[in-house]
Amino acid sequence: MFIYTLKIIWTNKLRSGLTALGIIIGVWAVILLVAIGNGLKVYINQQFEQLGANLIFIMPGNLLENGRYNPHQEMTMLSGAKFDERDWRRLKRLDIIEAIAPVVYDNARVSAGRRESFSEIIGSTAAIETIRELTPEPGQGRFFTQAESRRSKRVAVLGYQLAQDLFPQQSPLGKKITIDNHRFTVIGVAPKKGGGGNMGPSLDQRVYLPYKAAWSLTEEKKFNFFLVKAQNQKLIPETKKKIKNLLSQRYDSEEFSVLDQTEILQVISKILNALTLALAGIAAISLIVGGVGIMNTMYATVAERTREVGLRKAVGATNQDIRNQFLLESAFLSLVGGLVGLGLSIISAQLINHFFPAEITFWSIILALGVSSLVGIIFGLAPARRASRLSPVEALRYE
Amino acid sequence: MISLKSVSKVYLLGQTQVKALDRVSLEIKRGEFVAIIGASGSGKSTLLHLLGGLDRPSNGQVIWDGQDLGQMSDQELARFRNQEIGFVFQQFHLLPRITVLENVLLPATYAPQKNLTQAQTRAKTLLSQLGLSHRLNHTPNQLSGGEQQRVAIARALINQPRAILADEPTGNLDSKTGRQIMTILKKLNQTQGITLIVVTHDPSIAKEAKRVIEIKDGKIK
Repeated sequence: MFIYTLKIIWTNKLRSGLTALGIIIGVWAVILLVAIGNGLKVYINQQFEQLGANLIFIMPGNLLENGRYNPHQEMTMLSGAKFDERDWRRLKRLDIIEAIAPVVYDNARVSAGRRESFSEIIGSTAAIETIRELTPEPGQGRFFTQAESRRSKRVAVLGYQLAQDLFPQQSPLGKKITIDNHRFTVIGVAPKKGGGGNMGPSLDQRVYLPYKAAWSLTEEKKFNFFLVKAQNQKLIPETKKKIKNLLSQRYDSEEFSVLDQTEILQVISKILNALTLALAGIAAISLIVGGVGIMNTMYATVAERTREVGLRKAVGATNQDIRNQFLLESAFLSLVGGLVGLGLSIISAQLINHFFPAEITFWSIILALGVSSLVGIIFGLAPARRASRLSPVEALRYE
Repeated sequence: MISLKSVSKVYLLGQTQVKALDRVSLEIKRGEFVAIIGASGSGKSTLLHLLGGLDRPSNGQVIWDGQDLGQMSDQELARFRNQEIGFVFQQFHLLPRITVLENVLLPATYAPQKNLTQAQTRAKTLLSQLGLSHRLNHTPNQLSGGEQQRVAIARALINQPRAILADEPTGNLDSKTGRQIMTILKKLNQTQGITLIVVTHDPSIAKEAKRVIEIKDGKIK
């Protein structure tokens, strides 16, 4: 019976191919979109690892509600705690913390001569150099010192790309730049960090200033967040607990968040998962279209082979035998379509990987193949039932 | 023994009812060779279909050795056709995409107790008895009409049926080949005692039968 099915499908190669095309495209789209979603997650994980290990973020507002992503992030950050030097001094006294960098965050116009750029301003202390691994390469100057950050010295360290944009084909070291009418001297260029593209502003477009110098650009003398480096991975939960206890003495627990990288990654993962699911769902619609195509072809096949059905019944085939024969055919068509779609998606994932991360997972393969054979059975059922109910006498007479 | 008791068959052609058979009663003994003759549209094919369990009567009973075919479920009827009846049709009805051997084996694949190796041996024996041993792996369209009808006869015999029901078995053949086919069928009836019921409008074939039943306007004449 199985061999007969293969023969039938092979004899109608063109029609079988066109029928399976809907399934091929559907399976291809589903697997590939899921692969891109997964690749993106892996990519973001890697990017986070590059930020530096064992990082803890202390931010204003309640970013996670019971460990889940709070969609009103922006609001809660604005209405949350405004950290000041007192918080910083008290946090610094925690022995468990290896290093802490307060961060003044702003966006401003940075110019050098006629060239200018709208950049992220990071005001901090020398501690950020080690936490974020920002030590300039040899020959690229130096980072500002602890003393410079305390004394609000007007010095700046430029991100790798920003340095090239403002000072093409020359060394920026010792040159002057203007940020919101304040003049700063460039003392170093940070190493290349990457990021950017569609994923937000590049880390290489930033300007690093001593925090007191950065305060001359902002209205309030406050910190936007703190970056903390824990001693090691195992101490992260303990460190977070101590930070929370300390800040709770001054702030309501709704007013600040203490997050580590895994938590931030979880938030991003959840958003990406939802996105991937939505995209895969849309792609799955093409599987239904493919199923309708199979149904159409199966109805045609049944009509064409009416006399065959009559003969088979005359020699003893039961209604179930006939039904199963046509079901096998439609399921097989659909499954082959699924396999071809899988092959295509593996090839395209390889190609896409040159530009964009894509990773095919085992469960997406199982799901796509399972769904495609199921589609074949579901959409093959109605034509197969029609065939099984044919009267043998009328079927034999059919011209 | 096969008996028909006041069997009628009514078809619906659009809005009008067509009476193909009208209260037909008859008995056929096991091992008999019966010819059913009549003009086209007389109801003789309908009679054959009812005898072979391909169709159900609108009224009356078709009884094989005490078993009423009308009381059987679709599945039981399929099994009955598979085990007890061998059909031979005017248009041969061979499946075009499979080989001669596979065509002969087709009824064996639907048998309740499948033994395909045994069936295969039997199919080869039957085909060689019918002079087709060199044609096993050909497809039907590579065969002449007479050869195709011999394949159909081998297919009818594969499950060792009690009766062969043939609907105009020579209708698509030239007279010489037709005679050969009738000789084969007659021999099966004589040597193996297989009940042979042949529908025909050819008087020369009817002459060979032990008994002739003539149908006219759905009634036995």
